[in-house]
Amino acid sequence: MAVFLNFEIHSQSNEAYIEQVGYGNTAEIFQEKHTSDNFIYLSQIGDLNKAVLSQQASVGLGQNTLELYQIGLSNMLIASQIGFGNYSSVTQSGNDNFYELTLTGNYNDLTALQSGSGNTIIQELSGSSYKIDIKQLGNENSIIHIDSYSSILQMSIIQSGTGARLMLVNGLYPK
Amino acid sequence: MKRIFVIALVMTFAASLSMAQHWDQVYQSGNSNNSSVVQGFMDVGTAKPGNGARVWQIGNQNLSDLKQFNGGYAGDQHYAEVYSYGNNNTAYTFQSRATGTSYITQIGDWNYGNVYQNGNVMNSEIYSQGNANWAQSILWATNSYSKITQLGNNNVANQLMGQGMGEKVQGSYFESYQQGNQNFSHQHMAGDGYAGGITALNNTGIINTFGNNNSAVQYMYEGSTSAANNWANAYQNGNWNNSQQYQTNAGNSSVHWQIGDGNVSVTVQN
Repeated sequence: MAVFLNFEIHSQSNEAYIEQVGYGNTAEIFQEKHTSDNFIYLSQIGDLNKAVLSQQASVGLGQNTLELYQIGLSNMLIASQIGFGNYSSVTQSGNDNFYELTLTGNYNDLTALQSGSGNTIIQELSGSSYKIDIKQLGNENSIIHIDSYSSILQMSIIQSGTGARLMLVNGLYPK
Repeated sequence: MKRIFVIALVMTFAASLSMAQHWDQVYQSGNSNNSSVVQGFMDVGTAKPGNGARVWQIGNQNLSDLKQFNGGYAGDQHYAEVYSYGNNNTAYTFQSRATGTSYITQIGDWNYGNVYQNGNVMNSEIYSQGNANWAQSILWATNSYSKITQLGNNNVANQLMGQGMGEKVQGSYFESYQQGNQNFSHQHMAGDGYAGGITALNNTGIINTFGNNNSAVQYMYEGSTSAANNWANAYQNGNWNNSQQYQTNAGNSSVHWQIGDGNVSVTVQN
């Protein structure tokens, strides 16, 4: 089952709510440029879920908000956020979860929880201020985080299990 | 709701302005974990706010590699802390330019802790508790401080300042404390390779050992004709201990304190 949404609400804010229960679900959501603020709530409970999400708020003080829950095996999330303020909360529980985020913004608050085996998080961020909390519970977890131009960053990482791999790179480019 | 969100973010980050520019906290529990943290800015010549990181690793065969950079020496201070609890763990901290403080604590056996600092007014401390641990501090800095504390047997403390790094060594202070048997402490202060001539002036090295069959070796090399004014002090309490001190040029002080039987001390000043 595939769901394609691109709401345009004249109140200057797009909001998308999706709940999927079952096998092989896919959700692709694109919220781009038309409004000041974007909001996505996505819950996928079942096997082989996949989500591709893109949020791009309007120029100025536009904000993006993402809340995602994936419970089950082989879940995957690929997300992109561009806006003045970005907020994301990602929870993946199950095996072989994968979460990739590309983000550009000035005030960003990111939270991710992965529990299960083989969890992976890849973040590539560009912007100024970040507050990031990541927890991974299980074995063979891996995190790659790169924030190219960050000026202020507070980051908390918890990895519990065997064979974890962590690489953090903070602001190693001229600004 | 979203307006509240933005206000909260602004307050959070405004409060953090007084802290380090980048602040990471990493907690890993389990075995065979690997943590690599790199912080800073690469634009040479420009001082930037400092970086801070704290890493905990609980388990065995873990590796922590923490690197902090700054574009200019006048940048704010780096701060690094690494805690290792378990056996066969390895911890590296690397701080370049600016000022910096680095702490490594390792509890267990067969652990390795290494501090490398390049800048001015650097401070480092390594604490290890257990057996067969290796602690090493390498400083390329002036007016700096390094301390290694080891509790247990068959441990090695190695403190190097300016050796082969092309930098002068002035006004710095090395200290090691070892409690146990068959331990070895080595301090080497030398400015060889510095473009303005070999320089190692006004430095202090102190080694304290409690136990038997321990060895202490201190080198202080000053290559110019001026007075070096380096000071070496070794205190050993126990039996069959060995203390050696080597100093070049004039104005140096060598002190051995040995309490016990079968102890040997050597002083060479030339």
